[in-house]
Amino acid sequence: MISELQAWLPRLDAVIERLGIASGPVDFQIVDADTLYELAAYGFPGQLPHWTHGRDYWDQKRALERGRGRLYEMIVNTEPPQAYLLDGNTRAAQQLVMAHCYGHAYIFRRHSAFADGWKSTPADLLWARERVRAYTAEYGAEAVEAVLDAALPWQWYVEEDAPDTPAPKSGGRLAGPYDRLFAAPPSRKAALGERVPKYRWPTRDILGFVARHSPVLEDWERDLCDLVRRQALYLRPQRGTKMIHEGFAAWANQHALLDPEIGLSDADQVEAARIWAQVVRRDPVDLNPYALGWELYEWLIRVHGAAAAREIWLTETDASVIRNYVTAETVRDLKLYAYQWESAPYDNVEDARVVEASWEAIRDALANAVASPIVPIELTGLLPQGGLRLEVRTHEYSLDRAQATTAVRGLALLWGGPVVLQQPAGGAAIQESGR
Amino acid sequence: MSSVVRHTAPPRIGQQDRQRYLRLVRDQLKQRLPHVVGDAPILTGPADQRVAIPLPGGGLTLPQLVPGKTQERPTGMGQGPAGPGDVVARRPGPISGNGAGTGRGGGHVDHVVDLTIAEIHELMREDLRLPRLRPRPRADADASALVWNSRSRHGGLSQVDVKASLLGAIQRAAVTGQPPYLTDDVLRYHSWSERPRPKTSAVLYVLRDVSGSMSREKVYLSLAAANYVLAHLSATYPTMPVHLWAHHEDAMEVDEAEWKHLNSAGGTRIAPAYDAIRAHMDLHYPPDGWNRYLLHLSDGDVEDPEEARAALVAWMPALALAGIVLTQPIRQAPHIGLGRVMAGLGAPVRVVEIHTRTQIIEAMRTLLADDEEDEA
Repeated sequence: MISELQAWLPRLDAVIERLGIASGPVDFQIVDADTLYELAAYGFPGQLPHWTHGRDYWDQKRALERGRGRLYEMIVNTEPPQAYLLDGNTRAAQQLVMAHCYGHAYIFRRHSAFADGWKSTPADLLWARERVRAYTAEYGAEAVEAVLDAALPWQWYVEEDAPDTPAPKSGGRLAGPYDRLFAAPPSRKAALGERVPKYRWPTRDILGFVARHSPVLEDWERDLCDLVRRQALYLRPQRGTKMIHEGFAAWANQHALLDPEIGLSDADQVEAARIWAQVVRRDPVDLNPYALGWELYEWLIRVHGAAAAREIWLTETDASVIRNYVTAETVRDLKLYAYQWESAPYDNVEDARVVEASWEAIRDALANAVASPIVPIELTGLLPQGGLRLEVRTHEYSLDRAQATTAVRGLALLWGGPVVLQQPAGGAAIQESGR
Repeated sequence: MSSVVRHTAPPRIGQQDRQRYLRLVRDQLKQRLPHVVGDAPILTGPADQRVAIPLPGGGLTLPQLVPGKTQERPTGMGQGPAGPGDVVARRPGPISGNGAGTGRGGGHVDHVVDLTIAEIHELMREDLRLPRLRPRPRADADASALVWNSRSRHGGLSQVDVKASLLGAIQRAAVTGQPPYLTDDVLRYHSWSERPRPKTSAVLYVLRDVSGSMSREKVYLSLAAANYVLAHLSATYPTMPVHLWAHHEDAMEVDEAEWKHLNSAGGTRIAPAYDAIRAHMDLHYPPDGWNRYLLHLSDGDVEDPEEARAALVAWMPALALAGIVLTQPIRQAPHIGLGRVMAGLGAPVRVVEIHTRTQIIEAMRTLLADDEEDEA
């Protein structure tokens, strides 16, 4: 089949070019099912070893065995993007999936969220597995796992390195981009011990701060925390653009396969259309990012024109495109609704019943549902005893206390001292001593 | 550079993580084992049947920093042709009474693992940490095993003993001076002899009190106890038949689904149930050929403790074990404790009480402990 697909590729390339979504080559690799499920569980080949990936692997495998959620492909954001295709796919499925991957590749290369990110999996992340293996050999699996278990809940609380200089004091010169060049030499007082924080307070780089400044972590433990942090920075753009990605890729493969020059036999066209229809099926109770993304993109093209829609799609994230562009008409045309689970009066079952809601409420709920937003938490300073003070920066809700307490306990262990998480929205502060 | 399509086999990296996850699942499952009494036919189902067991409390997720659940009903977003008031999906209601797990991470998402019934039994046995049951040789061990250790002058071609036949031909040739022909009279055939073997067949009768006094929690404890007993016995008797009986004033044999959920109003009498089971046992599993196990699950609130005692005393010599599990027995007059009446009977009758879920394992250890330990 490989030679057939290779021979067919130039036709696909030409069609992709005509659609205006050619961004460069893709490395298509055909792999067996176990390999594909393993890659999907890890997200990318250099992922840190951790038991949660083992869990994800079994979950996906079980879903497959029960005929749910078949995985056709997986694509990794490298240069060129590496697309892994399941070797059990029919020829029509492979052709559909290859067109789909060109859609993903276009987003990887053209979307603003990926513009500043790494364009290939960095070598040091690929080496991460080896380092973790070495730490495991030297310090034991339990010790390594304890650090990773404590650090991973905080993996999305990371930022690119902030400038080292503290914020300029008020009353001084106007802050400008070149001020650092002319900064006065540190005063003797500062050199003698007035602690100049490396971080501007507040910072969202909680994990980075702990990794660098924890007084109790060994070097290898710092390294583990830093690996978690850098990995999260690499994966973060994808986290916020799932619907953007899948919607665009679904749009791309639909239009590519509709092109008269694509050269699929009638039978393959029917098979590809069948798969595509399954992929973009609307889900009554669980939003399908493929369906929602594809329909929303088509709707933007209809309303704003193709060029504007493309521009929107390449600059917005899942949450922002919904908040900025979904209107009453979108909610009506895409048949979006909110529902509530309620117990039915018989047979111990629950019904999902559609509720009355304004289009604005539906829009906001939709943005939250697709984006799985990160609760805004910042590190706002040190406590007098050397503990960490964190604050939830939202008044809309308080945290799930049981889970947050476990997460804070892990962070306190990494910090080696007390950690306090303040909640403004009526929730009591969560405090762990770190012992 | 243009796109390429190729076969690859990237190095597999996940073996260790998968094994580690499975070990964590095992640890979690052990905490959960007393509660594995759901609707699946764990007692009578085939050993290779797969059963899904939910691990509540999300012991296998890392904690997440997410908004807390509000008192409002859970909501979601969907897409499709539906208007306000329409029902777009239906799911089973929340299951109550399963107890919350505590564990790693403190996440809250239910996690479901698939296991075969044989694997569940294996885990339960590990949990009990009891010596493996030894098959009991019986005095009248007349069953025989066939052992292929003999030779015969008659048999089929497939049973020809080549070595013995050649030896016979060579010996005859040496005596007669003729070439060593393999004629019919020198051919020897593999044959067998019979050897007495101790009897090890076993049968388990589980009798459950379904009278009105058996509350939901008592039923729960009963089902858990039955699972453990079966797990223990099935190690020695993998194909052991299990008969499920229910009784209130009368007794009847029922299938597993019915047995788990049956509930009836009215009084409780045991003696008729014992008599009925004894008759059934004698008919199908005569005492000289079978190790007969009886497990009786009740809260001890019965009308005929003395009659029951008499019935059991008469029956005792023909039983390998009569386990009486009293779930949350009532100790106040006028309920005469069945436990007190039965306790003094001695082997093979053993009586245990279970009041809370945490006592299940210890009670099972007492019930199933090795004979020698018991005698010592």
